[in-house]
Amino acid sequence: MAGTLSGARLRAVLAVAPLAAFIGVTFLAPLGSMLVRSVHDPLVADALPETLALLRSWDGSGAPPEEVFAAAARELVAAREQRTLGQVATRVNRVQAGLRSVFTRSVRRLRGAETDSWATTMVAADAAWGEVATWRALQRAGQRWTLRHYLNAVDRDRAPDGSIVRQPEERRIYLQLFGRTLLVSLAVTALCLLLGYPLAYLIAHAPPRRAALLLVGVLLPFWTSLLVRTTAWIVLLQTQGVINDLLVGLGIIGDGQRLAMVYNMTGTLIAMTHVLLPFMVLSLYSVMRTIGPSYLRAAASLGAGPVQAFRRVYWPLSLPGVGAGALLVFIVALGYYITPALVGGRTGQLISNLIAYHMQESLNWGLAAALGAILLLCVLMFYVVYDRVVGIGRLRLG
Amino acid sequence: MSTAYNGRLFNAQVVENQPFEIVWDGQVLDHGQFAIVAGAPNLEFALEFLAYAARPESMAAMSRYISYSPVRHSALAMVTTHAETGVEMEPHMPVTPERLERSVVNDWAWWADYGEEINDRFGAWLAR
Repeated sequence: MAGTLSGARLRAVLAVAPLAAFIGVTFLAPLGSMLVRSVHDPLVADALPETLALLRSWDGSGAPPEEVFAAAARELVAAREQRTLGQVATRVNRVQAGLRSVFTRSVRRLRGAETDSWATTMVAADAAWGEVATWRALQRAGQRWTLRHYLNAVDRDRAPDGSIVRQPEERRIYLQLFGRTLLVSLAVTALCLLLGYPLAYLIAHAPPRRAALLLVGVLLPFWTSLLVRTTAWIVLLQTQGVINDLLVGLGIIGDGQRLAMVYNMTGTLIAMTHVLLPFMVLSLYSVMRTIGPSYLRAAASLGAGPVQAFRRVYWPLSLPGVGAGALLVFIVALGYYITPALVGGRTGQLISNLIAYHMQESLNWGLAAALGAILLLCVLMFYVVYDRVVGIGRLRLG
Repeated sequence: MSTAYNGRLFNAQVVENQPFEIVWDGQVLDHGQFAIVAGAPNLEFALEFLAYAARPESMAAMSRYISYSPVRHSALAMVTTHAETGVEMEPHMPVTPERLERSVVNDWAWWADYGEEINDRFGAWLAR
């Protein structure tokens, strides 16, 4: 066998090749690119190589020597001509807010300037060039490989002396959101289990025709677009929505006491539980279907009451389904994005919404990548824990 | 209490008859801009359009449809009535002399420098 493939193996390899190529292009490559992006940002380093090299021998106290100013002036003007100056300025601005306009404005004045002292000319163009902090910020933004984004992603930053410090209180947000995301995912998983277990039991042990009917009841929402289901919840839950109108109409609550059930955490929990419930029910159902009635009959004949029979026979037998459903719901919930974005309002946003914000609005892709990588790490951690505790081999999805 | 573009509030007030009252004190003024991309194939037409759009009559005509002010003094005198409801538009203009006295002009250069930081802080504040 060494070095050769039998016909059957070759056919097997060829059969999965398209899928492997598809996964490679659409999943592994973007994932790898994201992980690299979270630590690698060559833009500033490529635009100002000489300036950054000269800055390395600068002791960091007082303004840098004239040659640094000269190199910076030349490379910044060149960057402007190559239209990368805006991106360079944005990167530096992220290290120290306020520097964007210093870069763009003063470079406009440096173009074509003749001078004996670039230091004087640049400080005249903008006093910020005389500050130590400006050059420090440029140095930090110029790091080709950096853990800056990971520090930001856990609400940390580097102090001027290089030590790691917490962000000022008004900028701490990510750890809190990671915590909230974990809690919401746990809560949604628990709610799905609570609601899904009896339903799955009913379907698994009902006569075939009724079981089929109930199963369609689970599958229909499962096949319905996520967007439709989420917006349907808005119609039901909003202040002037169906449920509130009903409660007011029946006189249960006054018109002024309408419940806030959407655009907050409640909305996120309700809608996410509903959207993810089929995953739980189907996982449970596929396992419960295999638990024959003879087990419970045997338990009863040996003297177990219904509670004891459930606790000692049925529940342990259904555990692989519980594990599969819980893991599936929990992991999908960790990365949930559309539903909290639509119904989460202010308090129901999850970490994925922040990732999307940094992808689409602030365009801070390095930070978005670092946040994504941490989320991915969380998922892998839970997978490993699950494997240790329950065993992936026992995972059954039907 | 809320903040909104005054054109939308005007629509709610006058067209939809909703009970809104605008507090102009401290209003943030902003203006739209036109730009022509370098190397545009129809430069002449673009310039012709800009000349047309900058005419006081054209600017004043816009305020017949929404309560945004023209940006030329000469146009302000030509502001008439709302096309749909016939309401006098002058009282709904953001740039009457007394309103201008206490208004802030939106500084986009400042936003370019501090927008991201402010947004981060706003996000952190919202998430509390």
